[in-house]
Amino acid sequence: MFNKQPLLVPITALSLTLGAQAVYAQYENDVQKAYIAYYGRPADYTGLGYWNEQLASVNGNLSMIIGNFGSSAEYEARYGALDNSQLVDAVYRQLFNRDPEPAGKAFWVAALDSGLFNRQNATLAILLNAQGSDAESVANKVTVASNYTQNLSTECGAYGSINEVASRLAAVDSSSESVTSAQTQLIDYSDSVTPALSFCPTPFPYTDAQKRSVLAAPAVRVNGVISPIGYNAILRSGDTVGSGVFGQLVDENGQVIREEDGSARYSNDNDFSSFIPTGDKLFMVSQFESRPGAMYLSELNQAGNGQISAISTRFIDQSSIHGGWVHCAGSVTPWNTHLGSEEYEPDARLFNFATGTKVTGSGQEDSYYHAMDAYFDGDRTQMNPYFWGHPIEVKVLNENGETTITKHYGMGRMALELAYVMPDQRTTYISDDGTNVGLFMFVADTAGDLSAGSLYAAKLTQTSPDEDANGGNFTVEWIKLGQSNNTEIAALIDAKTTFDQIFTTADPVVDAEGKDTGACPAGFTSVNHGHDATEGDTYHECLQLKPSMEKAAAFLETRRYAAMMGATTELSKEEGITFNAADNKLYVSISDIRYGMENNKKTGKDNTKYDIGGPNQVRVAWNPCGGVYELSVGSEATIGSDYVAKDMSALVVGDPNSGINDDNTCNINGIANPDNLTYIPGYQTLIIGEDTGSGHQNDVIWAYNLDHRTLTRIQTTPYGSETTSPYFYANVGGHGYIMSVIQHPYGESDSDKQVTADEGRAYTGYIGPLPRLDQ
Amino acid sequence: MKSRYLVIFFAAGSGLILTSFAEVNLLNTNLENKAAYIPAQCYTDTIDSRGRVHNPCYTCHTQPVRPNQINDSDLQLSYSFPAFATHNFWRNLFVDRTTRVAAISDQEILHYVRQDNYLGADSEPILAKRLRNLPTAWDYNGDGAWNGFIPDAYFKFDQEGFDRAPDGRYTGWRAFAYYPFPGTFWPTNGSTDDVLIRLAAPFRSDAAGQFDLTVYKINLAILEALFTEQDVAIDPVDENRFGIDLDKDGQLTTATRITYDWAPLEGRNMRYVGQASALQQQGQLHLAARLFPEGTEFLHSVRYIDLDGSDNPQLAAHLKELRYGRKAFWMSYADLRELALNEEKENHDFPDRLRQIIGDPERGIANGQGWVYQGFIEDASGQLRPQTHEENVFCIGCHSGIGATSDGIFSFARKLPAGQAHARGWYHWTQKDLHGLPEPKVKRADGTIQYEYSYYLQQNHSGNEFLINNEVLRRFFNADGSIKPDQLSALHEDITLLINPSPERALELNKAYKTIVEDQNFIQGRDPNVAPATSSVYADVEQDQPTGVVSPISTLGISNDPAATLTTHYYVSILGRAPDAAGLAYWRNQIIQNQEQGMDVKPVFQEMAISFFNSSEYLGHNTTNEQFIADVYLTFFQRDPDEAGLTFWLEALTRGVTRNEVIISFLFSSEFTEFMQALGL
Repeated sequence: MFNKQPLLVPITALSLTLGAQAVYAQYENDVQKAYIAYYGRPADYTGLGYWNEQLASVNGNLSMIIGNFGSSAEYEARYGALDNSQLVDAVYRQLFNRDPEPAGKAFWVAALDSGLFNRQNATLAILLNAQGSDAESVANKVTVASNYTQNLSTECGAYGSINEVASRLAAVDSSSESVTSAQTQLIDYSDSVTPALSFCPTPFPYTDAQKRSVLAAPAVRVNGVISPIGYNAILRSGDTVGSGVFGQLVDENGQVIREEDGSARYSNDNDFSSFIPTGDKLFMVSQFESRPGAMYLSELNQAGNGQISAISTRFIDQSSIHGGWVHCAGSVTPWNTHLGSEEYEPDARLFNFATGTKVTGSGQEDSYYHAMDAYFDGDRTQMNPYFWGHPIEVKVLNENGETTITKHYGMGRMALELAYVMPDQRTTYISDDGTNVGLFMFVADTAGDLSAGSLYAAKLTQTSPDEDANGGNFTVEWIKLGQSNNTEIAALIDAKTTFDQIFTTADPVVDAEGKDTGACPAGFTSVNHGHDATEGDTYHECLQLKPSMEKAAAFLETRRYAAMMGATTELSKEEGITFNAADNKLYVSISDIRYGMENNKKTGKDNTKYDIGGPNQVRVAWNPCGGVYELSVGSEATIGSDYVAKDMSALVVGDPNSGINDDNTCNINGIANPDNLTYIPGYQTLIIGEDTGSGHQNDVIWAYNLDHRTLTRIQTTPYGSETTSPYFYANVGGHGYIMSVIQHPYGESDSDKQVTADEGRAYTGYIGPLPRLDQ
Repeated sequence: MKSRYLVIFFAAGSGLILTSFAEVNLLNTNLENKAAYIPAQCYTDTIDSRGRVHNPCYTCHTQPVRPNQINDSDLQLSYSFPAFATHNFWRNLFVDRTTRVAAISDQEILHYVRQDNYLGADSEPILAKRLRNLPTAWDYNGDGAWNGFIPDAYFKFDQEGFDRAPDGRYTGWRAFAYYPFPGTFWPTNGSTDDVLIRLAAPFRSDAAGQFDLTVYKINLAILEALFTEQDVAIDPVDENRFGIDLDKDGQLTTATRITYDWAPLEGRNMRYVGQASALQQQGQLHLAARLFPEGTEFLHSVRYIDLDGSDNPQLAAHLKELRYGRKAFWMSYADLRELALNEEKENHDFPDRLRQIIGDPERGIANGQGWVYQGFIEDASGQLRPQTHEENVFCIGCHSGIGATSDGIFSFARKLPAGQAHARGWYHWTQKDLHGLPEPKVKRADGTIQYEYSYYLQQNHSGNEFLINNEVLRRFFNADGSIKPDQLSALHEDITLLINPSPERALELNKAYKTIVEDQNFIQGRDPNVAPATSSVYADVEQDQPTGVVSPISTLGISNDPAATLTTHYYVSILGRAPDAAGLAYWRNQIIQNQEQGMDVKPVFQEMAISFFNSSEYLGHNTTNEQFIADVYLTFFQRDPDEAGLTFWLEALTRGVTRNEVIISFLFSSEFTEFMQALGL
């Protein structure tokens, strides 16, 4: 919307014909005037807030914003093709609903022709010099415009089409009848474009205080009824509830892990938390993205008004699953169990199975991996990288809160973001989060039982042109990797199957200068996939499967094997998955469309690292703001499922070309680095959570309406924090909830408050309580 | 009605954003360089025209010592910048200052650097007065008052290094002497500096809250013990004054040392004295190895180089900068571990993410580990002014997030040891300068000990990170790039041979820096080069470009503890592993007890050697005679066996000489004796 380069054209004297008003409101009116003068429409909600604050910070010096307004695409579209004479006519008509009188027109045209004014200054000057009935017209337009903009926030209406709204505003002149008529029309219009479910947007955080707070949508409108909502924390990491400490890390014996100074280890990386109603009770299973990982069971109390608080919390013993590791996102299965994950699986190629030591590509001891030592009280010989990288299912058995925990070794191993089960209770999609990763599908043998089944990897064929700037369109096929079960794979792990027993490796063939040619020696399969074997090096590997090791490869080295079988391992930062049953659409987010997804490029510049030696199936343009993809699912007899994805294309992508500053390099009204997803069935609303750095200064959770293709901001998080695992529940005890976790609000401390390390503690909470949305 | 038209006069605008540096705007917290926390040194081109690789990086990017959990030694291997930072914003490095420098006479610059811009004619800090009558241009939050640090040191030190106000009052600041950090901070690279520490009031007060100098001295000594993880010698004190067994001898009598014995998980703790003691009990103040308690402050002045009557470099009266840090809150080992793990994950997930630095020019900026930093710097006329936000951000990269620091601080762990140094290491450079200071030693990650600066010269082949210190090059290196061994020998005895500039160089660098002051463009760099550094510094670098360094090296801090050093060495060379805490403590103690009783320590080493070589652990290695002899050479001589020696000892063993006899021969050899002497044993 706005050009990044402001022109500095100081205006030294201004005439404001409005009466004395509060300074704050005066600036809002000035902003509306600028919108009316330059764009002929009311300010949108975000723009009003943002420019109001910009003006306040320069004590109302309009020169700062008119530069942006006057050089924006919207202004150019409106006036760009007009000559000076036509411009003056157009501005008069737009502002005063009349043609300019000859003397006035002559003055302004001469002023423009002579260069005394430029087109941007002239536009505003004409507005500000309005007298008499002209001034009344302007005042009326400002009134109508203000009402319309405010209408959006308190009545949760949608903005609608710019032209439609502008045309109604254009009809406002100095008469009071025109005001009434326009107001009525605009209210009707707003109703007509507002969906059944809409959120009152939370403002774009522009003040320091807003940037350091959690801001949530103040209300939601469902079928015309407005209910107040907000962000509510249930627990923060480190909270003591009864005898439990939420997020405290324990070792395999259930002992709290302590550092040398006696302090207890804990995790600030709360991630997915599920609501598991059990009998008359409500439980929450929460997981933490740490090493060692942690999972907590909390019993919750739900008040009559839907507010939720925690009554107790305890850690869930993970000793039967060799400890937990970096539990990321998750889902609730159709049979009401918590299905969690283990991300960033440690690369077994760099692991010494004899000593239990893992190194990085440069030969240094891998401190990321060895942070797990504490779970085993430092006994590395007990550790095995194949323990981690699998889905984990937690079942709450009864109202006493007894639980079982199962690690599904038989569902493959990767940097698991989450696994999501389809309504058939068998087909499960699994996202792999990293650089040069794949997309996987598991089809359980038996409905409701993930302990046995078949594993598939997606192979994408691009149907849109190379360098597609819109994320790309693809057809999707599924390559079967194998069929197994938890017992079989657990046995392989317990037998200490090593990487070297599965694969023989070779170095890629290099040319005379030592550069990788992309080829492998005879007998080796050339692949390019994400693994941490290489630092600053290539992702190209030459692999040869050892005899009879297909199953071990498929389920323990899933990504490597998938690549060898021709599946796609070029995707990047694949994150959330959710499903729209009504339209049979699966949604998958790609946080940053880059690297392997580019066409032998790295962030737009030529670089073969991420494609060399691989099939380069994905060849789209870099988009650092990421995108959410839509996959159509349908029947596939050979797989025996009605939920097989057949194609993939970008549904909504971020815009990296119209950020407003270096802290918001993605358009502020679009997504930036989408992370986890959740869907609100029946209301065509996809919830998109961000995890971004410079894309947006404050991470946003959006509500995306699929019919209207509109994005509404429903939550923003403090500086440097991450919002994760939004998850929608249509009806828990008569209320709807959108779970939302906020990780490490300020990795830094705030020096002007008496803040402690506490401020880094993460929030597990929800946006709501919403009315029940299952009807 | 005739319409009237107001004629609004517009000033012409050129459409360019003109940043006028001469008037720096403190109210503007926008960063031109979003990666201002990455200092200029990181853009050095490590591969010279002859293809030789220089490694200046390891001094900062190194394996850490806990509780610092940030192991960034991998950064020695490649330029792993976030994409934004692949462009070098430190443009001052490429400016040619030759003409401007030539235009400043020696007299002029000497006159300039001899002007005291810190204390006024009334002997009070000028900045303090200005900050108390806060100019609007400095009032970031517009509340009429300065909410940050108001300089209150006088830089007038007594015989114990304590800073005293004109009326004799103790300001609480205390100066200490430290081994200068290799590279930029050597005076030969342009500046002199100093460091002062002040602990919070409860550390300077007795239980009743009254100022007590002895309490303060003891608490500082305790902190020294915590940072060096060794015992610290103190002037004799009656432990009954505090009710704390400082030397852990089980009695409350006279103590002449603080015994370092901290292992809370095993129930072994240490206590502060005075009012801090009770607050520690209540959990309001904390104590841990290599962490400063809440409220600790540091003051670090960076100055021009003055010359005394004999043309020796000295601290100038004129400050370039005054740097301040305060520990605002405590972060436990668990907090710090969590922080490091999160950062590691962030770097992995989002390699292009830039750090968000929170703060402002008035209240300072946070380093994320409990500290707040801010600084003051010269304005165009040489008077000190607060730094802008971007100028402050420059500080934060080094004072957080690297492996080399302890609690974000470089200097304190490098303090001259209380048992050996003049005034127990508590003095200011204006009281006794650097002359005659022997070269410090460092422990390396592999357990060996090296002379720190010699090692730096051998790894970096230069006198600074930018590889442009030609004076050091001429003094220490031959034309073919090989090092001059006799210069190194001299360096072992006196560091000023290396770290002090010639008078000509000192003046030249003073002049060069002054031109930056005149331009006020510190955000483009503060390093005073005269000729452009174009040949050895990158203007732009490829992301993840290799540096040419193949294997990272790590130094783990000054080695002042010969007993621990040698014990560690034994473990590493004989048993091939790092010592376990219990073993290290036992043998160290044995050695120290012998030393205290004035006994020769050789018998302890004999016992240790026999014990180690005969341990089931070593015997389990089942060494051949060759391997055994190699182990013995490594242990005692720190080298591989020469051919003649190997032949000789193999024959001896074959003839029937026992292994223990071999050990004893080595133990009493002159080579080993020299080695021990070098360690100070």
